[in-house]
Amino acid sequence: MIAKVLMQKGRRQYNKLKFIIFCVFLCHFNVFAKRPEYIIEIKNHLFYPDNFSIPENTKVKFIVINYDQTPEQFDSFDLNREKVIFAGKKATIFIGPLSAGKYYFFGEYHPDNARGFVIVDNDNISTNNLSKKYSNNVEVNDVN
Amino acid sequence: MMLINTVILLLRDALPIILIFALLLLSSNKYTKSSSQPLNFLNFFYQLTHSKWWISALLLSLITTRLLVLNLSDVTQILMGKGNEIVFSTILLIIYLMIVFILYLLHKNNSEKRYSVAIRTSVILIFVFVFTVNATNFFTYLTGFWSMPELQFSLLVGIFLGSGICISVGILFYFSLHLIRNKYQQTIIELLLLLFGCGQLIQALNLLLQVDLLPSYTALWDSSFVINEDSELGHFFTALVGYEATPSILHFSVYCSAFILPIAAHYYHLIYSPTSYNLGADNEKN
Repeated sequence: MIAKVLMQKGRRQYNKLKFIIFCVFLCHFNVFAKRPEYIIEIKNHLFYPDNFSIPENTKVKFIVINYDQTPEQFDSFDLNREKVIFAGKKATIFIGPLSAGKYYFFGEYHPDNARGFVIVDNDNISTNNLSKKYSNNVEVNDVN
Repeated sequence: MMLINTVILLLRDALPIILIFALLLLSSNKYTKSSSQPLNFLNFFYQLTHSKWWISALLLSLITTRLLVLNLSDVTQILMGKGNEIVFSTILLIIYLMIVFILYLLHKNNSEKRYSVAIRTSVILIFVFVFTVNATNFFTYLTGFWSMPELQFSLLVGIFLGSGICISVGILFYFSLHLIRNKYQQTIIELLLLLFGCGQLIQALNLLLQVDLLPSYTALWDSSFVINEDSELGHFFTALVGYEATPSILHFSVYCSAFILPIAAHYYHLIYSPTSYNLGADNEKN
């Protein structure tokens, strides 16, 4: 009986939490917007690709996949981003909108090897090509 | 290479912890009345041994950090890979709220025992949260590379050197604030505490922007030619006051609101209920 009441109470709390999260997401409808996607792989403490271009004034999505046996932290002072990617895992980072320029990023745990940069320009065609090119190379099955 | 990297990582992650420790130690001195003692190393160590809150705070911090590091990989994956950012930004928001709360308590009649207990508890919790948020990154790094025996010596030496530099910076910061021997000393410490809290909010904002939970805007200005975030000074100001070289309108408005609102609330209460405060009387006595 007590367990039943507790379960009902727990379910109510869970529903309430789901409702709050939904409301928060609704307040910021941008979360449902589709972003251009770019895939960066970490292999042997190096970023692949280590440079690419993204469109100006557009928010884009980076999917960083770590194929190494050690964790790596995607870090960038220029982009204001910092995220740990555990061994064999992937992580999503959104960047932008950015004005035209060159923005550097690096792996905080291997700052001498793992380095790269993003060029922000208004050449959307080349950006999409790059995105497709690197999307095809990813073997996501290896990563949790 | 691993040695230098360990030192740099430790400096980056430990700097906010050291700075908040110094600020909390100086703030808690107000109600322990130990700030009136002469300035020397003997008194500093006396204050350290006298203020026992940091021992329990450090132990609690190590436990929470260890627990978080053990589960961080799973935490990261929850809520569509946004778990890490949501958890950390919540902790950072709590830090800001607790700093505002402690500043409110410091302006109350602190001779009452319930206030001193509340201040002590808040101080411990702020330290634990700041330690957990900042040390998790370094502990993840350590856990990841400790399994490689050839790197263990470099890691140990790096920790030793980095800790030494951090402690030195902390002591310098503590004494430089302690040197302000006038009636503005406490106000400056409290303003720095509030700015530190605002910096935590900016960090929380960056984490939420990182996972697209908040709308992004282009940068209002770029002050990296004055202070680069990657420089030593940039690291110091980022850790102390949440310096941002390229803030957006969101950063700017959140920072200003977080800084101005508590001060405005303080002066509002000071004007409309002056009897509940004895800060002015305290300053006159000092």
